[in-house]
Amino acid sequence: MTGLLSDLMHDRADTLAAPELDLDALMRDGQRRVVRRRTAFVGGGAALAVVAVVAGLASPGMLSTDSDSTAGEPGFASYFAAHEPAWATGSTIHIGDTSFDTGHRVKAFVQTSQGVVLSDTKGVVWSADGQGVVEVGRTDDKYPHLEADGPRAAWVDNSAKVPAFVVLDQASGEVVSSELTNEQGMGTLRDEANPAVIFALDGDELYVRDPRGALAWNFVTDDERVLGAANGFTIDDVRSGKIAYSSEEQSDTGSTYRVGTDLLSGKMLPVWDGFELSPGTTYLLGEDQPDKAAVFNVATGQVIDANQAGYDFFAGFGWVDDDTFVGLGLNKPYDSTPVDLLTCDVAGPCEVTAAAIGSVDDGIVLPNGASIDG
Amino acid sequence: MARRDPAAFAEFVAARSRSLHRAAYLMVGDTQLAQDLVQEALTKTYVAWPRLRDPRAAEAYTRKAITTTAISWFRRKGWANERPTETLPDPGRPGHADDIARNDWLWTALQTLPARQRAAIVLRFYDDLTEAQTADAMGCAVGTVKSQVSAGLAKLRKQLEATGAGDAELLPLELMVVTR
Repeated sequence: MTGLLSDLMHDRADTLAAPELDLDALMRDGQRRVVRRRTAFVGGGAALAVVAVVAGLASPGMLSTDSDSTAGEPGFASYFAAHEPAWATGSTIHIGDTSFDTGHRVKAFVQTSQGVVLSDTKGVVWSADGQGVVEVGRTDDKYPHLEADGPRAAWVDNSAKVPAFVVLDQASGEVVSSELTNEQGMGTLRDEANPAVIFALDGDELYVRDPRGALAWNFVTDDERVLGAANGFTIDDVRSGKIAYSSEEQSDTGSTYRVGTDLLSGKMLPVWDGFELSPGTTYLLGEDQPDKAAVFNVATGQVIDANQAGYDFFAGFGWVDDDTFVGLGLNKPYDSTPVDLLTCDVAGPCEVTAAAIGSVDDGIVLPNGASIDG
Repeated sequence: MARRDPAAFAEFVAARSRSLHRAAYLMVGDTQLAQDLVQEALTKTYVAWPRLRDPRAAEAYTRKAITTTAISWFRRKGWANERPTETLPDPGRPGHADDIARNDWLWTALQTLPARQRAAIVLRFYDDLTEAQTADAMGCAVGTVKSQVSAGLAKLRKQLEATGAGDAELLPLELMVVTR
């Protein structure tokens, strides 16, 4: 059916001789890329072994009843694997009934299936799992932003002139980074002009913004998928390829919120602010009005009121499973009143998981990858 | 193919590199650049080799690497997506050289297309991929493939009209059929 154009292309291409490929060089280069990823290990094997565990504060009682742990393993691993909610105060990470000290004041952190990845007040990024603490990179000291998915965490390294996107696999210790098409002078915040920012980590893909726009960088294969224009949208989360995003398309409110597989389509939701998709992408945590917590059914658009009686402010910030989320509740005055950590069933009430875990003034940090005062 | 087997990879390269090189050449219009493109795409394929389950998957992966790398190179190197058209051959030359002139014109016009439009046309009309396969190779939606092919063909027709030659003479209407 393609007639002339097809014939022309065959005429031109079929006269070509076979390419002169240097197969040995090709495989050497490929092997170097594989090795480069492996030798970037941090946290795994020897690197972790030489780093001292910093002042473990684990509850002996809790550790002794940790039925999931194998002999010789600490109890932290099972808590992280079970997505028990963690929080930080000062340099200490709390999870379940136990805690450990990282030795570095936590500015922001994310929780993985293996441990936590945190940035300190100097912008140094550390990997910690309750057994050891290892420096893994650098990020913005004032406005850190980390993302996590499974055993991996990601951040932007802006310590050099050209910012780079970095992914750490805490299970293997492998670190992969790329500047993509970043350039000098890029901003670090979403609202800045031409920022280099990360949006979400989803499997093998890190969703970022570089000068080309929003794109999904497959850090395993180094492939890229450009998703949309450079401005006019914000991606809040991505799970299993489903993107929760707002775009400045025509609407009465000035922006439209959707969950879809690209930045052009998807189910429209009445979201004021979106936070996290549930693991099965059934729900989105967020707010339907400012400071009014809600859970959105992604398929139906149903808005489920998530506000909790007894708290002046409540917000869900993470998921334990597809129907259970974690939130914080606090009362006025917000800066000095201790925060309660709650675990909530989408269809039912919440339970206080940990009461009065600390206040904003105490320096409490939740595992949402951002500083509570940033 | 569950491990990085150099012999199996070498066999794959020997069997498919010529075909892949041809498609790469059509996308970039330069033999040496096409060879560099294939070398880079095959390097990526070697890295991913343990995850590729069969030769068809390996070829699809390499084709995708060629396509996305070509588009990426054009972006990163700051090359103009559309090259100057002043050098398009005169399509109205009379006589027995008409066919040659027409092909020269069409080839040059093809090379003036933006990288994504050119890639979509090569994948659809040279590699004979379906729209879904083309979308996979380009890492985009099927609708994007349709729009890229349609825009590319429209641009070729527009350039042709600008030369004063008849559309039907040089670009058959069948070219407008972009779905199947």
